[in-house]
Amino acid sequence: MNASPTWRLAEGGRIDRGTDLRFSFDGRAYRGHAGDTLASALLASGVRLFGRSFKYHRRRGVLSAGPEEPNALVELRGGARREPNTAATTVELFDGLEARSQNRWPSLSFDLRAANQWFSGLLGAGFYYKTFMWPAAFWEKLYEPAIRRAAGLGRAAGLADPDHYEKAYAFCDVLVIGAGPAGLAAALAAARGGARVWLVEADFLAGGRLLAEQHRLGGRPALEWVADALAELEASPNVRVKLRTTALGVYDGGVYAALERVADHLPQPAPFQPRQRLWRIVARRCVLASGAIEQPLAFADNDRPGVMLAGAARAYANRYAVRVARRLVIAGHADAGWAAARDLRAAGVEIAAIVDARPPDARGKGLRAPEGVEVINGRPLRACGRREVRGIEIALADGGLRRIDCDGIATSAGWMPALQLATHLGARPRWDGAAQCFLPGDWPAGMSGAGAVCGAFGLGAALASGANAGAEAAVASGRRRVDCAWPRSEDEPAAQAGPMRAPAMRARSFVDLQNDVTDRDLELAVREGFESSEHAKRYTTLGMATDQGKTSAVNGLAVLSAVTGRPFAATVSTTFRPPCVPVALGALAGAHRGTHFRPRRLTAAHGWAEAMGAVFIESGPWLRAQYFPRPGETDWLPAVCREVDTVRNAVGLCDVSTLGKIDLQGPDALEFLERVYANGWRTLAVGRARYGLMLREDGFVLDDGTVSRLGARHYLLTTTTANAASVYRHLQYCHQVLWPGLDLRFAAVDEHWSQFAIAGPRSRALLRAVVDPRVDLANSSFPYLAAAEIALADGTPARLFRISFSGELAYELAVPSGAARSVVERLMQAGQPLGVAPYGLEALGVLRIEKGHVAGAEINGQTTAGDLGLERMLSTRKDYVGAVLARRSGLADPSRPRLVGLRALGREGRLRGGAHLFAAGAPLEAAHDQGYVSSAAYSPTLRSWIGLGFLKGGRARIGERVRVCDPLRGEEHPAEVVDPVFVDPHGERVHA
Amino acid sequence: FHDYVYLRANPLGTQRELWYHAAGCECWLLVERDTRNHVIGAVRALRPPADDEAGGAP
Repeated sequence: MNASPTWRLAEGGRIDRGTDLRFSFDGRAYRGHAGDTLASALLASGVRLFGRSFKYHRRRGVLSAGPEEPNALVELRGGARREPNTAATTVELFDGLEARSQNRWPSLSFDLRAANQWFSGLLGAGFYYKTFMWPAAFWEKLYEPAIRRAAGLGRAAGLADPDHYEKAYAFCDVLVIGAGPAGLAAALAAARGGARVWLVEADFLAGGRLLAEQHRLGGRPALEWVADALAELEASPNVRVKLRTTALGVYDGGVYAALERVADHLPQPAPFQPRQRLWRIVARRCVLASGAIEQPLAFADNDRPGVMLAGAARAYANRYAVRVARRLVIAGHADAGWAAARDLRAAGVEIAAIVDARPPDARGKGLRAPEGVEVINGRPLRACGRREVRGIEIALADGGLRRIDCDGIATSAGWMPALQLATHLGARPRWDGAAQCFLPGDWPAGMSGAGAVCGAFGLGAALASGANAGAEAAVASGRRRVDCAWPRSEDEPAAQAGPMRAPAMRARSFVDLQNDVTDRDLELAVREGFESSEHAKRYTTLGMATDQGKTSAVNGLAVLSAVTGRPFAATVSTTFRPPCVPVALGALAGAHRGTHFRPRRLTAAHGWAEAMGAVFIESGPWLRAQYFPRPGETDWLPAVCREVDTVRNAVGLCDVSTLGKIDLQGPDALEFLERVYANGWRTLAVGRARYGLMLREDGFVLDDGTVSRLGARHYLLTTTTANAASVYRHLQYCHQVLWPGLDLRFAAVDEHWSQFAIAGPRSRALLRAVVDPRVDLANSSFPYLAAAEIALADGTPARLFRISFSGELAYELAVPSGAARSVVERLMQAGQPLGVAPYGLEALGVLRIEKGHVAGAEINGQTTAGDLGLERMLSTRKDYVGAVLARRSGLADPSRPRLVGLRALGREGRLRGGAHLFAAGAPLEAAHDQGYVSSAAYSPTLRSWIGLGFLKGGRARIGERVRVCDPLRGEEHPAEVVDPVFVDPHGERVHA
Repeated sequence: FHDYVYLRANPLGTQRELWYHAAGCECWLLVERDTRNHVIGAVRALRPPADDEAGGAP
């Protein structure tokens, strides 16, 4: 079974027969050679069945020999490196490669879901939009998972990718995409003119179609010229040649993306090497020499294993020394099929016939069939054979019907330029009647084309256009023009007819093989009104698979044109978007994953919290202390409860440096505050602080915070941690764009000042121990909402604010960040006799919920001042940002859910953020939804779960019982609506 | 006022838009951009030029 010699040719090919590579497919062992792809090695071993199709689970073989492959998608490797949906035609074989087929159950050759095809009447275009509409509730739970399981491609690994990916940048004068004859000529011409050249090629060998065909250049085999060209380029210091590198996208300003597969051809990457590298190439000019893609022919059962592109069959014979069939019929309407026939026969394949839809006078001049091969003027109707191709039925041009036995059908409906990259910036391809193919329309700035991508299909034409494009690109990027002489070549005839719709048959003819879109699906789409190519694409999913329609878009347009009666030239091809081949998300992420996803901010006293044994949690960009467990506290809850108790009964210490801090000064500072905050500031005296509320222009609440007046023209603003950056940007906008005339300056001083909350009944005593003894902390001299610039006992300058987030007697002490750690350590030391303890973000949250203070969960961008119970803060005596739209009826609507407190009832009762509120006795339906829980915590002070939430009717419903439902977790608890201020509602403690 | 907050012209061609240089000088810039090809025309800082020399206390 292994290494079946009958399919591998005895000689020829660009494979290294001296190197044997072992690999497995679906658990079976095979052998191939270096230079093989997975597809060629399997074909050489007699494997023809590669996978099951997306929707109908039909048997599929290999269609192509390149990245356009729609059928032979396989899963590679195992474990965390498992990689789905890779085209076997692009997988470079390596020793030990494991591959598996996809989308089959229970096995590839016997797939129960193939029964889908008998129901294809139900599974037509848009079937899931129609069939599974009712009952709606079944969609999510029943239909969608079943459909997703049955249809589909490979499985993702589900484990963290163990490999590394990197991003790199390159700058050059001329980027040449594609190392076929045109690309090599362009790179040589540009390099000889002195340009810095990058040449990228997706394949692991240079040469393009020269690898797949037999040509002579200047009397020598063409590949010798390729080797010389490559050697010259690689020896030039101004040239970089990157094989295994696919250009993915074209962006503004001459920026190109390319993916280098550094180690995909190895079992695993070499030490310290990435698996893939994403290049961002900035080029003055670009020469696109991406070649062309042969289009398949549409006819009934054209997806049977054994049906292949003629150019692919030719590539397997010439490049991989593989015979794809014993007896082959060539079918199509392009001269390229005839050339393939010649090479295939030379490789020992019996050519049963060439079937050409074109009458003899429409074929290329000088086109000759290999001797003894019958030429039939007609079109294939149907591929015969159930498991794989056994024959072909042909509708003869003169009206007859004929069947020919064969085990392979090679089709060629002509070559279409691979112009995806030329359209990424929005240009549309145009249909060229003379060449019978789409050509790039307007080229993107800085880009030109060479070779087959601009319709120069012959070898001589490709070399000439490449040399010219390369020379021009060199000049355009400021280098010299060098015109080189090129070896002579004999060009094959390359005439072709445009795409044709399949003859009408009962059996399905596939237009998009990867997404199982048939001729009839497109017809149905048009009948239902999806006539434009973009609509039909979305309705039928034509061209939406991972191959992006490289072998289906053109045939699809032919069907649309035939059904709608619009001339083909008037059809508009659908849009291609980057990337033009599938890219692993890992490559796009590069090194930015896990903790490297973004920079992490640490407070100046982070080391102190670490030394105190804090457990940290991410909070926006910050890493903050969540709680400080003590020995014996195995869980977060006891630690948090103890920390809350400490604040309520003794004194706690919390690092609140993450708050945004903005220093505002100037003669117009007060006016500025008046305009950006909703509440008034004219009565704020020097040495006092006040709570402030900012609105967005649309009237919703932007942020809250405090403003302290440190001097006549000097204010200090704080913002919430989460909104620090956006509030600062908003203030810059207000100042620079709205009122540049106001005379003031402000700066973010977040990093300059570290701030600690000192909260609890003993906080005054603790402060006394560290501040300059001359500072009078008595309640009468430094009352609630006082603010002052002071000094510590050792002379460290500080700012002291008597503000409280916890509802206790509390201060916030700001010190220069350089002194943060020593000050907080001094506070801890001085606080020992007072029972001081540090508290973290969790306790901070519990304390503020107990006190009914709103935070980010309540100021969530969808709440108004009224919703938050802060409507009295909206000044009526001045204009400010958001004033007008805050008054519109929708925002002032009294039926909006408003802030309430919630207290869980019963011993088991628990509240969770995000749970929804329903009136007692009301059914659990969206129509009866009355609000939601925004914040919830276990309150050690009240010994029950409490929460803040928004409820229709608001405080008028205090005392009512509501149902708190969390359908995600399947929980429901009763709760009582209470005042949002759970602790010390009269504020006696803060004023103590 | 509703129009001022919510409606945008979305022209095909040159559009004036505000950009914020967040990682640098914190300037709001008035940028003319062609929405078809992202070509940037004129750019002007909105901050009054007097600001740049002083940069500090009023």
